Amino acid sequence: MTITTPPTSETATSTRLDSRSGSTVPGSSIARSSSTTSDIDDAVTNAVASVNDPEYPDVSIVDLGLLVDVRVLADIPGSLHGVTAEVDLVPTFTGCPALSMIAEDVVTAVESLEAIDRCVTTWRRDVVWDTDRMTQSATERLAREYTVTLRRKDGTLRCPSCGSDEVADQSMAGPSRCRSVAWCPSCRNAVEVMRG
Amino acid sequence: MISPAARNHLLALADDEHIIGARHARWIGLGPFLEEDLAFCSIAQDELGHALSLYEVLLDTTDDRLIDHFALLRSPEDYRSCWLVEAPCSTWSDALVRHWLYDEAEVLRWQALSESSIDAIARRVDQALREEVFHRSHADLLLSKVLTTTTEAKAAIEDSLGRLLPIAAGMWDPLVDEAQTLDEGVMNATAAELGQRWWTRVADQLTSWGVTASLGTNGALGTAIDTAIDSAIATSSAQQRNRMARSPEFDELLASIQEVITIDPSARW
Repeated sequence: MTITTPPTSETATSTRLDSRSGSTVPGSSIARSSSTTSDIDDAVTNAVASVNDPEYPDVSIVDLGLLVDVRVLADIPGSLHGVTAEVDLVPTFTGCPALSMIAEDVVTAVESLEAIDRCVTTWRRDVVWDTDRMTQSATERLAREYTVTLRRKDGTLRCPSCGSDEVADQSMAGPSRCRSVAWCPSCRNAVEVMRG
Repeated sequence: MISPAARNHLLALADDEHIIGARHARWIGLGPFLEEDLAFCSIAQDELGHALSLYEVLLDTTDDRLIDHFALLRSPEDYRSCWLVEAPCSTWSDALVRHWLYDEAEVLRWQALSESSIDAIARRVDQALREEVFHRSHADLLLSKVLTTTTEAKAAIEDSLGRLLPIAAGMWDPLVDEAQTLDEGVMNATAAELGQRWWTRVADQLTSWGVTASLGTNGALGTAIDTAIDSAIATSSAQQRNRMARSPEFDELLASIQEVITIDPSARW
């Protein structure tokens, strides 16, 4: 499948994975499972969704829009690999130092599935992450739990603490590469803003 | 299959991104104010990310350890970085001016790869260019503000420009086999063409800021610019020898960036 609109971790089980690449085999040929292809893809997506971003410990990387694609490849007779899940991810920025950690967590989560023998992750360099990839759930959680907000399409900002629309940018460089800093004159709090 | 000529061309950009990322990172904790500390740290991370992205293609691997070994443990003569990125720039005005000059150039260099015949390279351009939007707006804004604060600040920036512009000319020294790289469609412009665009942008911007920095001893931007540029290019070419010669400060820099990996080269980080 190719996920153009990122699924949410809450709804991933009901996501139909119907646009499939030619290299992916029908579920019935996956020897050790009677599940449908869609069930297995959903299970892999859910396993990926169980991985949280190291910077936001209870926010799923799927909700943050890091998942690009999942492919489950059948066991090839004679191959030592078994059933392989290929998981494509996109970094929020090219130099993110957490990529290895996230990839290892994804491999651990996906390989814990009974139907999957091996998981291979790829950090896609041809996809550009931006805040549009985040789900409403992640957006709300970042605002509520981390006082981190997203910029609206018209460029304005809403204060996650008091709800004021008068928030003004202060510096593009915040406490981490992913966030800039703004200021809310209404409640006099610093506001962090997710940066693409 | 990437030809040796193409490899050389891409290595020049990859090494520039790596070395300027390492140099920018030196300002962490030393910037003139907190926001600049953080901004240089962010920009350094991006540039190191671009280097990583290019090394992945050159080495055809995403194995961090192999990439680290290649990035950090080559002999000086095997690097293709230019002297602008290698320079220590240990004053803040030098670091800021270098950041501005480099990012003005970097955008042009990535754009020239946007339709590269090497698909893996063409596919990496959008990510890099998107990050450069912030770098350029940061450098433009800060430089324009600093230039209008005090006469001392403006003098310091002009002094840095006079010192760094001739060195920056070395970014545009053509690599050997450049013609072959063009024939192969790796990029769509020669270093000289990109350099000409860069000199024009730089000169126009400086003129709009009212800066008349002396360019070596040969004239002033805006008045004798063509002669000055020609002279800078000739000097840089003689010294940097088309990216084959490392700057006098390079050995010290390399030893410094090797400090961690040499503790245990087999460690996985």
